[in-house]
Amino acid sequence: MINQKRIRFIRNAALYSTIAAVVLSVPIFTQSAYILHLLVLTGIYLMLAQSFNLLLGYVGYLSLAQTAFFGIGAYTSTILAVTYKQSFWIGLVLAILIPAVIAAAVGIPFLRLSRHSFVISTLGFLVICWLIARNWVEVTRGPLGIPGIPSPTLNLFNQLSISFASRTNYYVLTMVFALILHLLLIKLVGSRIGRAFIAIREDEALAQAVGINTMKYKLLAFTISAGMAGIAGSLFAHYITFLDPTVFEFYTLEHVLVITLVGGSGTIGGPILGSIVFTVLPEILRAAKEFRLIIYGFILLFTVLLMPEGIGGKFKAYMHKRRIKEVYAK
Amino acid sequence: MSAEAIFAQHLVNGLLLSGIYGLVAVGLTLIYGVLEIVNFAHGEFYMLGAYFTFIASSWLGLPYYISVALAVAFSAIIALFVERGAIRPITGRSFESKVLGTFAISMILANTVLLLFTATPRTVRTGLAGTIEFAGVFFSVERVLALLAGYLAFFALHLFLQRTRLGKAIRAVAQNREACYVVGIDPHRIARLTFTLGIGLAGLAGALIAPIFSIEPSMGQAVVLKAFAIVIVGGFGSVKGAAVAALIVGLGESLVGGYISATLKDGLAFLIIILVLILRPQGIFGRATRVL
Repeated sequence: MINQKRIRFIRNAALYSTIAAVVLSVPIFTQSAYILHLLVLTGIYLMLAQSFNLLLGYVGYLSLAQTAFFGIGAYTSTILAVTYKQSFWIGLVLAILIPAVIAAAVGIPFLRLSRHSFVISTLGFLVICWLIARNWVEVTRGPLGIPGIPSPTLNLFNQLSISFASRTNYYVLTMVFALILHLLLIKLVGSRIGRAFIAIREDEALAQAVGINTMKYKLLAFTISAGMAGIAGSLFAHYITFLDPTVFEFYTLEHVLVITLVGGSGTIGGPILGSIVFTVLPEILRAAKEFRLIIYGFILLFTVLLMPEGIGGKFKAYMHKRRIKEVYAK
Repeated sequence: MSAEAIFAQHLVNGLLLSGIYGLVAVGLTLIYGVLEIVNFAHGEFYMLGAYFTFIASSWLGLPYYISVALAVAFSAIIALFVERGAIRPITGRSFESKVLGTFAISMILANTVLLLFTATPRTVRTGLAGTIEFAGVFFSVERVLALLAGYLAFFALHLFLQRTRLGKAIRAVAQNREACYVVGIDPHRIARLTFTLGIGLAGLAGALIAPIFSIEPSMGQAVVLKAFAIVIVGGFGSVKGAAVAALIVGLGESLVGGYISATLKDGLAFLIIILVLILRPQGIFGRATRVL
């Protein structure tokens, strides 16, 4: 038994380190600023999509507030860096904590509601955040936006200083965060807590009946997902170096919805695939933003109509079927 | 202007907004009642109503009354296609499918209009410019007309739902779907009718508002959130609740915007949503039901 556990641990460790090595070695093979730029955006949107996926795919709650937490994280980190001249790392920590605390606060009333009302109240929350960003001019500069967000630097023992101004370094920074986040996420959904999430998704009343404190787990998932969105927001702001209230607009939300849903919510691999496809695809299409959003709308609609489980879900079902066949063949 | 005159102006504006929001919200609540779908694309049909009015009156030079009628008709025709292509397949699916499906329709419609007309705000000229004096206060003809038409439509809808066989069938499906099969009402036909009716009302609201405010492709998203607020306050599925809540939100916005701050006015609807959801989740007029 213990031996099997150890084998599995070694196998997983080998798998994860191989993936990490492949991902982080991309800049060795390509120095193209354009490709690295696309990959940085892929990584950032992937983290945001996973925060959305954690709630929808594992707990069964559709939250439109994830882009609000993304924006709050971006503004937190930006204001600390630009107005208060703090380092990126302090900003990053607060960009996780502040959205998480806000999520915990609004989550208590929101998560008591029916799933319909939850969607609408998260949408209301997103719009309130957008209004605040536009109108609280003393802090956010309103629609003018905040330019000149500095690139992160890392000082090691006051000796070695690494700047993340270059594309290559920013790529590595983003991917390190994305990899850590995925490792934690896989651990989380596979754990006891993750099983409680899935129980709530499948049947909330039943989960309650078998003694799961559903409110506690829903709130936990909402808080964690807000923190994840906050990290993505902070990385986004320091990469683009300019931030204005448009981050709260529907464009980001639609992008993330398409990534998660087409990729397949409720799987970890689905949004990874989705984020790659839907960051690269628009670049190939080279279409105007409006035209792209129309196409996204149709893709989302057809996914909902024809393949609600997404590509990831289809793959999962296929693997499941094959395993059953194998067992029967034995 | 005297303080009373300013108050009267805010009051009339508030009543006008109430009527418009009420038309949008009542469609939303009917569709929810019969199809059990929260239509996130509802605001887009309001926006389409306004754009059809713009095309008919400004491009084709048709009189305003005919433009309004055409706008309602075209919104309803598009609703029929949307119902056939997207709404019918997602009826009975999981709630995420319904939300995301209607959200996708909203994306398609809003961005198509954005592509065709750009984000430039447009104005609709009706040729009805002028003012009406009432008790020493002046009101523009367009506003008074929109106000009256809005309330008239609401009243007609009320009569339709209460007095006619079809109206009663709609209420019956909203109350108990299975029992309708027993008494020979086809819920699918009623669902199609309700969707088209609800969309037609949203189109009418857009057509009435078009000469008063400038129109732009994002106008639907702003109004649908207010309609959500109204439906939540009034209780999902309740027509009477929607009417009363529309008065609260419309008058509230106009008075808050006039006397307190314009920013708070935009946020008011959401504050109301959140307060009502926390204090009385079933809405002021909704019956408490346990839905998990």
